[in-house]
Amino acid sequence: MNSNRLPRLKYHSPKTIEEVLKIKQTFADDTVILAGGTDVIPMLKRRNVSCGHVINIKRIRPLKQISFDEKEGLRVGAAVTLREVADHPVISNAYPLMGKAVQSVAYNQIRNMGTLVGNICVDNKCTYFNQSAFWWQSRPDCFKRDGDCCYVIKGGKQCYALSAGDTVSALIALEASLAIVGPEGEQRLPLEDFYTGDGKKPQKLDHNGLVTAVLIPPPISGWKDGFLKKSQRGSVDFAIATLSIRLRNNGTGLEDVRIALNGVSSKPIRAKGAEQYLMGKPLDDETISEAARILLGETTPLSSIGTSVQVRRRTIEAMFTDLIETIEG
Amino acid sequence: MKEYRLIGKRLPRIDARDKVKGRALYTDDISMPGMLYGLILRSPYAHAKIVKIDTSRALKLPGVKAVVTGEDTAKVKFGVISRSRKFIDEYPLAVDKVRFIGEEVAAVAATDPDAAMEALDLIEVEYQELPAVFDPEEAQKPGAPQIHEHAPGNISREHHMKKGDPDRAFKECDLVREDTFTTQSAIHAYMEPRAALASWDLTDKLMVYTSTQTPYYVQQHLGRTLGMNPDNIRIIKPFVGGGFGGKSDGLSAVEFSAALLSKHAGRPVKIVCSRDEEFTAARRKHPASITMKTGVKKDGTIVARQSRAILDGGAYCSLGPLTTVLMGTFQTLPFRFEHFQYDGYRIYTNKPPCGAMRGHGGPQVHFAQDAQLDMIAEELDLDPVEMALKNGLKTGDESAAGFKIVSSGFAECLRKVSEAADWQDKKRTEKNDPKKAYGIGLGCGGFPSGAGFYFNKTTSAHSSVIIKAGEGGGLSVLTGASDIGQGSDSVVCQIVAEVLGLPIEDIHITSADTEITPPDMGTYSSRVTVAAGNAALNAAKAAREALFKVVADKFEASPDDLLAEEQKIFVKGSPEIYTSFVDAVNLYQKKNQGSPLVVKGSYNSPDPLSPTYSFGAYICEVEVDLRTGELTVLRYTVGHDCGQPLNPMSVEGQIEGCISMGMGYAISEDLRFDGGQTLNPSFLGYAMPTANQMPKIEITHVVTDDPHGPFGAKETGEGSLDPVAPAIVNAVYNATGVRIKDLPITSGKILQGLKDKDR
Amino acid sequence: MEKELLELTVNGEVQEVAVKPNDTLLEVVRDNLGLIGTKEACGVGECGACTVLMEGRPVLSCLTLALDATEQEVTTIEGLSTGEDLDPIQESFIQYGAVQCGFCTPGMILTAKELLGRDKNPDEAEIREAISGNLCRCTGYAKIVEAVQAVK
Ligand SMILES: Cc1cc2nc3c(=O)[nH]c(=O)nc-3n(C[C@H](O)[C@H](O)[C@H](O)COP(=O)(O)OP(=O)(O)OC[C@H]3O[C@@H](n4cnc5c(N)ncnc54)[C@H](O)[C@@H]3O)c2cc1C
Ligand code: SF4
Ligand code: FES
Ligand code: FES
Repeated sequence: MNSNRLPRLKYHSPKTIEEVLKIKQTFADDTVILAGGTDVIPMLKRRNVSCGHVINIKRIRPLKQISFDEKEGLRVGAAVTLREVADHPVISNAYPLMGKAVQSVAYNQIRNMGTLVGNICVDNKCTYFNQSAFWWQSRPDCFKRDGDCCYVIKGGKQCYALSAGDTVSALIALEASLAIVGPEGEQRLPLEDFYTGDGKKPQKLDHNGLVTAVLIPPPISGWKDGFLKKSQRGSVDFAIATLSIRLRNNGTGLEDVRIALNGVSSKPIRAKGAEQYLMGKPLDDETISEAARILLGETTPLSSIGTSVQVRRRTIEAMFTDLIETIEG
Repeated sequence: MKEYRLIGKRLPRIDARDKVKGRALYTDDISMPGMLYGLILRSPYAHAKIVKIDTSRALKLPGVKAVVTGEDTAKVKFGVISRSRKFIDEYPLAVDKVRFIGEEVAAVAATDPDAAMEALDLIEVEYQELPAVFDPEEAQKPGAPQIHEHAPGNISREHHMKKGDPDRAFKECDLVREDTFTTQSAIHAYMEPRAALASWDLTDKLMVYTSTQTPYYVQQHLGRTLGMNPDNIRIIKPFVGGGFGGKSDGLSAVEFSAALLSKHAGRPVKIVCSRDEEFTAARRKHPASITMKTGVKKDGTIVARQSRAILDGGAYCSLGPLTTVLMGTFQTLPFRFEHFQYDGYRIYTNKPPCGAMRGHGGPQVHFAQDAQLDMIAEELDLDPVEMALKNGLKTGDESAAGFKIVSSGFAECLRKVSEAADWQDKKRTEKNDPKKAYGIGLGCGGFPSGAGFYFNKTTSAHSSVIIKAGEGGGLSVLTGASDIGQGSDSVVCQIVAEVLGLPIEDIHITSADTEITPPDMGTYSSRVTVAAGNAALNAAKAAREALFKVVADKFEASPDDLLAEEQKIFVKGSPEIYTSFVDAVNLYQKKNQGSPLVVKGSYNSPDPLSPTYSFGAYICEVEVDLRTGELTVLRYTVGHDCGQPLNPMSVEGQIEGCISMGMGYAISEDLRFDGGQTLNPSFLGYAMPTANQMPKIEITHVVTDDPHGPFGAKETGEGSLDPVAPAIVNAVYNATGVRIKDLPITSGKILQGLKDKDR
Repeated sequence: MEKELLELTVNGEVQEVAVKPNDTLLEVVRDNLGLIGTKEACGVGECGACTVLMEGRPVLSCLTLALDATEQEVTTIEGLSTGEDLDPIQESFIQYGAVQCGFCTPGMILTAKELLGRDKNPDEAEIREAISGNLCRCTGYAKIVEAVQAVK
């Protein structure tokens, strides 16, 4: 035993979605959903979240399913692990982009535990915020801890903690949406609209909501795509940036393109400016570097330990050029 | 070289079986009936007066059995270098004042982990914050906050050395360069966090299991701080999950608090640090600023060196006063020059105390030295390998700091690596890809095989080994040397087995238990192979002599004509005349009224600096993404002289471990501070190398037969670290033209360098 | 706090243990079951020392609630081979010098074991990727990779 001990808590392991909602109604914001736990357990240990009730969703049968249908597309339940996604034949056959993104998360053991939906719901990260209770005794609370300052942007008015899920850019490029159930029933939300941009509360999910699945439209032929992640050590670490690109090229120019990034701002970025610029253009060096420049303008890279703003910016640019080259090459 | 049966062979470790089965017991794996869970309360302030501590609410919590603070102690300070009063500057639990964030203020013990956690929150400490200082330059200024009363100007130690007349010599040089190099805060990050389990018996004797490199120092310092005779304390070192210098401080608050809580509660208490506590409050490597001036002749001959180092010491001495000296002496290896001056200053700051870490001052100064020599070679249009060959210390030389070189394979290391790495060709690799650049660089090192002195006053030998023969022919070997993962237990067994002609399985070792094993300085300064190895050799020879005597009588031969091999003792040239080893042992007992065969062997270094020195030359190849500054280490080619490698597999393991640690030091590991607060106290934040990052490593053993080492062996555990970082630094320069003078080499610094160069 | 009775299957044996809801699987295998081969080096998912196999897959026991482990097959290092026997990968770690202090070893071996179960002949890059979450401070990983490669 050491000071990493989890706080006292009550454990719930419901078998149905209805039970989850009931527990949530009873204990309101004193609850937290436990999927793979790879994000939430460290946060509980560090007292980054405080809550008395943990709701394990891994015993709810329907949430453990992956299903695919040519018309409806892919549905990944909220208790499906990243490893199960990566190993599923439909992923390598029909959604290679997703396969690559899933394989880029953290490392082996974490992918065996962590879920895809957990990766979508993972909390934003910040050098300051993700510290122990002891650590926080030495300084006043920041916004994300309900205080009123920020240490990353001194004098900032809100929390800039970075959006972290490595699969998110790929899912946005694939036009994924979420199935969310609450007391009012099931709701569908395009993934792009799920994020608030406020590092303090990065997702549009109140304590009543439960994400039950990610839905991805069926693959359409004629698209090419690619995914890249850069991180300090090439494994284990959260991303300096992740980038996903999907495009359709008719030989003379781009017919359609979707570009998404994560890890570079307090929410995932859909680079609409760069997309618009690229439409109809052939992919020559000049176009690519101009698109990279526009894309950069759509992100707000911040410095973090080991990675300066300058490095983040240059990395995003280089990733873009390299990825376009790989897709086209 | 002579062929041996076991020496020089790739032998598995004697403890590997237990370790792969998960059966090796580390401190946290040991429990006792009635044992309590202990936790330490730490200071959230970098510098503050402790006005009042109220433990009453914590004590009232059900399950809590003891709470202790500095007020419950004898208020005796400790310091591992206890030869000088000035270096005894730390209370094991803070008294009156705290001097860094994470300093130990109180401790609790409870029957239940949750109660222990909650009790910590219930201890009320009233602090009065004091102005703090974090930068060693600031700390020396008049009016800076005073951290210790005994140290005006916050100077914890200064050390000055001079040989010859560098000022005059510089005037006669063709080229003189002066550069300032700075290094960051790095930490051991051994995988096993520190832990201690303490219990008292009813005769007031204390027993402590602890994860330490230096059980005998812990015994002494616990005795001192608890106000009792150290002989009433038994320190047992179970398996230890790495140390690298971080568990060599003689005492830690972990051991002390466990002991004191256990006394108060009347039950065993175990304390285990969290990783967070390790990164926040454990000892670490000194960040340093080194201004180095080196003068050379046109042909590259080094003539003079003058240097000044400022060490950021943190709040207490730890082993820092020695680091201050070593950062001077170590820069006289592996090169020869006549004129030398060094001025080192260790400054107190309100940060966690810095102590010894693998290489102990070496990595800092070798980074400076090798980077500067690389610049000098370029200016003089010389090849760095040629220049190193010209200046390298040879057998019979004495370094400017007085290191007497009794064996040196440095030149051969250089020749072998430059050939193996294809240095001459590769260093001319064309640079015409705008995206990626390839580079190659050299790093050099030399290191003492163990310091020849204790940190405290004692009449004990540096190392001693006792051998006791059993009736079944097995040998119990008792050694105070601490195996912390580097494999000293295996080496000791191997040496004893070799000398007595026994299989290694017949040697049963007990190490590092102060009640049973003979005193030993402990595991630091790369001293174990040579010191404990020689003690084992001497003890084994004594056992052989005793047995040969009785066997010689039996065969009416001369003991000089006997040999011990394959569990037999026989007459040279007549293998049919033999007695089995078991019979020989029993014969000995019969001849000695049943008294068992017990012998001992000791070793003291013949030279107080060190008996001998290891050498190495490393070539590193890298690739740099010129757009992003991303650095990839491709390959290391290593030439290493550790005398006769007793077990080449173990030696390679040490070198490969050093390469990962040195690479982390060069490219990513960096404890960042905001004021006195550590910003990245986690494995994720500290970013030490992972398996996917490690490059190809190719090692050539350069074998020298050292006159002092057991079977000719020298150290390999620390010296192997020194050349790692500078080799990368020089390779990055070769690739990009960017000269890094400030570790670590981040992508940001490379990008900035490229930008500055374009200007 | 109320303890709950938990049925755990560890190394093929079904055991009943009384646990608290905030006990991790790591704490329970070590403290309640005495399976001390599973190590804690960080407790927050950043080192791999606490790796156990769950349903045959390497997971981090420090991030697993003990109560979550019910109805699952858990294998710790103690379950890899019985008595004096060694699994081929354990043998290989010994022969190739892949063990120094040994603190990372149980987690490392279990992680590599699963890799070899799904891929008989992994190449060096695959091995390095599979164990990239298992930190080792002693070996520089070289001999570990060799040891895994050598298992046939
Ligand atoms: C050392 C380490 C390295 C990591 N590196 C990476 C990395 O490189 N890239 C990366 O993306 N992530 C990384 N992570 C974070 C995390 O492991 C992954 O994002 C993982 O996919 C999270 O999934 P999970 O199922 O474990 O989430 P959990 O921890 O179970 O949940 C995460 C959050 O989502 C909420 N949640 C989960 N499921 C639902 C649901 N169905 N409905 C509503 N809310 C829900 C939880 O309440 C919690 O707040 C790392 C973590 C660690 C410890
Ligand atoms: S970015 Fe958010 S979490 Fe980080 S310091 Fe600022 S407010 Fe706190
Ligand atoms: S102890 Fe579980 S990952 Fe480090
Ligand atoms: S052998 Fe020591 S950490 Fe791996």
